[in-house]
Amino acid sequence: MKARLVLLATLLLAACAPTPYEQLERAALQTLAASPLQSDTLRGKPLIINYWASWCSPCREEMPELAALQRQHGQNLTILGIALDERSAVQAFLQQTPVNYPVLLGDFAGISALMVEQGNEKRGLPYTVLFDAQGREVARFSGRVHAEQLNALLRSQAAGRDSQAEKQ
Amino acid sequence: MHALKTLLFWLIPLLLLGTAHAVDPDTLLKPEEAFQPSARLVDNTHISVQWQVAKGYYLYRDRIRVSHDKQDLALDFPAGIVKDDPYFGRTEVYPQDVALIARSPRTLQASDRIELTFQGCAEAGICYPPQTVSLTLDGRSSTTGVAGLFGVAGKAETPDESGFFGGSLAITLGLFLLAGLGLSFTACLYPLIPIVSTIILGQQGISRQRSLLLTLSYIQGMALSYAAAGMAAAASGTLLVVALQQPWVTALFAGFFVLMALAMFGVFSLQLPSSLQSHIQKLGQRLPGGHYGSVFVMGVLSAVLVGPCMAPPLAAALAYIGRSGDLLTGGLSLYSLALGMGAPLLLIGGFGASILPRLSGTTMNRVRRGFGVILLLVAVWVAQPLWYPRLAEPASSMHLTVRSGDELDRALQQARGKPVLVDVYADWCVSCIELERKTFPDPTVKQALREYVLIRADVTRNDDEAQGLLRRFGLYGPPAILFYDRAGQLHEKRLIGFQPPAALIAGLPAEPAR
Repeated sequence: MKARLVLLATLLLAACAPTPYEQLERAALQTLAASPLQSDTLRGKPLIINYWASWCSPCREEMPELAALQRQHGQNLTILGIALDERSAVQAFLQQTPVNYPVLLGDFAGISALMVEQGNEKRGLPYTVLFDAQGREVARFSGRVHAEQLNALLRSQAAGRDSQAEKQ
Repeated sequence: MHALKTLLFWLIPLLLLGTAHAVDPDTLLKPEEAFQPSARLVDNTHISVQWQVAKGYYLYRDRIRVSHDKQDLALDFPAGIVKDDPYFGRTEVYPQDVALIARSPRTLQASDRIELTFQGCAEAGICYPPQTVSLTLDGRSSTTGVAGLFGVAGKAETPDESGFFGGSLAITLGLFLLAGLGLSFTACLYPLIPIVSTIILGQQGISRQRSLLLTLSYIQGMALSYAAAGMAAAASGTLLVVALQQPWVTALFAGFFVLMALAMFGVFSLQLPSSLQSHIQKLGQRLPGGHYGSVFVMGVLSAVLVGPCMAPPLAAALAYIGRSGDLLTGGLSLYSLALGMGAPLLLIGGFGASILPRLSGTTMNRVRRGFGVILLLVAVWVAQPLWYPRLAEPASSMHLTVRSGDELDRALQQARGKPVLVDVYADWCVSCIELERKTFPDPTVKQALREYVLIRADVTRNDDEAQGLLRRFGLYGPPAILFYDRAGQLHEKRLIGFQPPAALIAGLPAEPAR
């Protein structure tokens, strides 16, 4: 009985606060190659979602830094670039400035709604959210983000995980 | 325990994060707040489309589209400001309110809808996705609620006096002091620099302390006359500002500056008759500050001189004083304003006197001649109301000129059924003539005003009739632009001071639906 109540409470809580994976799933985003995003594969490591567009100057400025961050952390970090932009413009920009993480597209209204859901009520770009390995939001950035800011957060998170592992 | 530790690991960077934000999302506006469009039918085929752009935000010219029934309309853009974007190179943007004219190949009605697409950014480094808004052509803004708070109705025209004076006296005075400091960096005070320098440079080998005190005395003269002007306005309700713009006053000042300039060129030396001089010298020996009095008077004259240049802030202060009848607050406010304005002059006073002894005779002469030129330019500037109208094109025929309340009433009666713009004008008012030359002839303005009956309320003569006109509208002087609707009802909204074309168009009252 008690176990069931706990389960129910957990489910309710989960329903109230959807994980970023569920949010991404609902937005039905596609990769540049037009295949759907497998949001389940994102679980278990920190996730950075970066909303951008090719017409947004500060976005263009920060993307090489995000690519460097991805290189640095390799398999231990997922970065997703979500473009509020036309496919052709995105492709043209990425040809000039390639990035090593997936860039996703979708319909504007859907992406806009997703962005607001993830805390960007003012809908300005760039906008970046960092989630921990459990899908909890750690930080959000309006405007140009710097790799050091994200790195500091990721490092302290890794340190926290290590100390947790030691105790166990 | 480890849970607590984990929490701490998360908390520390989170606390640091407050400073790490590139842009504070709390102060950021939503795109519909930052860019508020409205559209108004000018005639059957022309639409005036306007955006109110919040301070610190800008629109991209290239990204503006206006369409009706899925068809893009041809647009006449005003010139924007060229921004050097690190990625897009030189792009033209509109960092302020902007108005453009859209031309439709088909006949339109006020109830028709057009679609606007536009895109902009915040200077703080945030860009917004393209915005699409559907609007009717009756001048109403698409947004309500929050947008309403920001006010489509003239935000820059009349400062919110209730809020401004609501605080304690100290805060009010502090604000005026700051405002004065701000004003001192505008071109308004440039004419005063040569005066201060003349006063100080004219004196050979005086101490820095004395020159500072002289400047201080000068500023006191200026500040006290402002205070007096404010209180006099309150007490008498007369048109002080207007009186000071009278042609003969202007001519007197211009002549005074020409004389000063000639003295600087060495045509004659500014010296009082020797008997009088020795008399004053004796007086000066008895009074430690013999020259302070004259400098003080100079300050009084200077206050009068720069007054018209600062018409808008003065108008606000005088309006408040006039309404509240609070002589003390009003007087002190203007006094603080002038003190703030004069503060930078103190620097010139101190600096000028200490640097001069090191200059050689020839340099000194060159400096004097330089000041002579500046003083001549000041004379030309002061006399602007006298010569500027001569340059103006003949008064535009589109204006119907009235000179009294009765004439205005008759004109308004005739214009019933049409919206009316009343331009309160005087020949001696430089801003009025600028409006005449720069704003009204602008094609976008002409388009926007096509339906309006334009009436010019000419208060040049400053006679009883003219003063009656100003009193009727609660104005202290021209320029001002007032609006009547089709039913002959005066709009609350008014524009005071010079208005560039976009500001005038953006300032037109929204027409109630017919």
